[in-house]
Amino acid sequence: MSTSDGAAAEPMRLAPPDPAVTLTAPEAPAVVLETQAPKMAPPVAAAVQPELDAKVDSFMTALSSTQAGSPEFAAQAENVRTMGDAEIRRAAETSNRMLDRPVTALKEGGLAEGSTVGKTLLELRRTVEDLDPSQATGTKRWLDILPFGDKITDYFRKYQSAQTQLNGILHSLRNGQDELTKDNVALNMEKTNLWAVMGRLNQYIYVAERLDAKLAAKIAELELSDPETAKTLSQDVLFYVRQKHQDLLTQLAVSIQSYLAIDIIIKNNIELIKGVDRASTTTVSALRTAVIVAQALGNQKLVLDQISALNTTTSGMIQRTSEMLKDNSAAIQEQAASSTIGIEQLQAAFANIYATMDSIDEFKLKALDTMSATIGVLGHEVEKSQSYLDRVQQHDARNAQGTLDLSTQSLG
Amino acid sequence: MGLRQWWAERRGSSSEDVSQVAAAPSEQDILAALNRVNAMLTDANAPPIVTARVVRIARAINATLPRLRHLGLGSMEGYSVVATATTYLPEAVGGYLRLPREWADTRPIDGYKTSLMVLIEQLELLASTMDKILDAANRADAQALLAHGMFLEARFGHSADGGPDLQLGSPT
Repeated sequence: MSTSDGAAAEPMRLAPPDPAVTLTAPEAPAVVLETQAPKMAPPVAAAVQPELDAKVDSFMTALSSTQAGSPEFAAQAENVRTMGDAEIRRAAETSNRMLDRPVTALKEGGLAEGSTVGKTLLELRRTVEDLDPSQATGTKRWLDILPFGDKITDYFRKYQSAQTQLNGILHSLRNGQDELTKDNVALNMEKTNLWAVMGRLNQYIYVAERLDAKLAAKIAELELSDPETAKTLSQDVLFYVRQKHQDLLTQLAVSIQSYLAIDIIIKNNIELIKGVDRASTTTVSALRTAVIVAQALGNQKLVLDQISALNTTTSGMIQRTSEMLKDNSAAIQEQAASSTIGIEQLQAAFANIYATMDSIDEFKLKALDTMSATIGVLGHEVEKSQSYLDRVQQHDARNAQGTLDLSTQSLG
Repeated sequence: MGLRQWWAERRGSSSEDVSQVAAAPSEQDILAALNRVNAMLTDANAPPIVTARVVRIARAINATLPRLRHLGLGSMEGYSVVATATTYLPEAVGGYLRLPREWADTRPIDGYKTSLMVLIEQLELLASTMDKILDAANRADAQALLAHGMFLEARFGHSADGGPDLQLGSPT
């Protein structure tokens, strides 16, 4: 242990409060174009490609072995129409759920006024305003002339009555953080689901592209020798392949949009957790300052069970030091007390709380903006995919597992 | 503002002061929550490996309770202890007990892990966290002793190892 002269005084020094935290609301995601979708989604693994190619080839073989217009041919064409319907539906369900998410986040999530975090922060602001040290120094009012007792003593007495409430508020803020964290865990699980669904959709898109190319080549080949079959192939199969391709692309774009929307909510929650953390620490640090200022100013021991306890070492030191100093010289004591800590420091500590809460409010406003933009884009995309979904639902009644449905093993 | 505020203060401004935020759980609440978990386990005839771990956590929380105040207002550790007793532990145990026992103990739900194994993992994490906090709380107490040592050192022991001192030898 060092015996340098500063050793005894060291624990007394409080670190100067940091400038207020800045919370940044994430930007709203841009609209995902259908043409970009396959490049943004999880790519089709090279290992899976041969399997998918084989599927396309066996479909083409089956198609050429049946006569155009026969029931077998119709069954093959139907396979194209039902291809990947289950995946499209799953993706759509997830996107719809996701569309609810940001709306719920707006209404009930951490950003909303009525949320636990919102209410608690409001309560914190009220409580802190009640304790604002400017009341202890403010301009002289006519009432102050009357002998109504020591203003500073009165001021610090307020802390005693506020401490249960402050304790409750701080506890509730941590509760709110827990809720936000839980929310993020659930969102991350949703993201994982969506990732798998997008991978599957991308595989179907790969199959549709392959089919398109092979069918187009086949039709071109038949056009001269057998124009009738070529026409049937083009109208009954290629048309549906292209339609399905479009459906898949749209659904993939919507899924990507939902994926990006989840990210926004997660980031907002993280920022809010940070803000709440900051609100708690600035409050506690203001309370610590108050305990010390109370002693320095009035030699008044501010007995706050919970608050002074966290500071036993520090405040005990101050008291002992000031007693020691008093023994030596009252003047030195006064100088020591006033030069290190005073009502200005307390005011600065309170300014810190206000700055933090203001930055949270500012963040909330910006985040709400982004959220509504995100919902707008996502809502628009989901609507676009709705017509395809309706068609999928029509097929539902006669939907049998088609040969083009990918086995579950090829997922990934 | 003067008079009105003064009047409001005298009247206790009861209409405004209705707090929307519930008070933080007291020591009684924490003990009651632990008792509830215990009752849940007894009622459901939980497996001994679960009960043993819950008892370990409850012991650590019990030992930390008197020191909770020293952890300080709004400290993350203090909150963790309270939340473990009132939320984390009851939710973990409740989540397991709600499942059909046979299914929970045999059916893998996360890779090869059964619900029972998942619960044990959660309990282990809670237990080790509680132990760490108890250790930190004790350390904080020990810190006061250290600080007192520093004070005594500063008061009386200036020259112990503070470099060459300027004291002159005793006058001859």
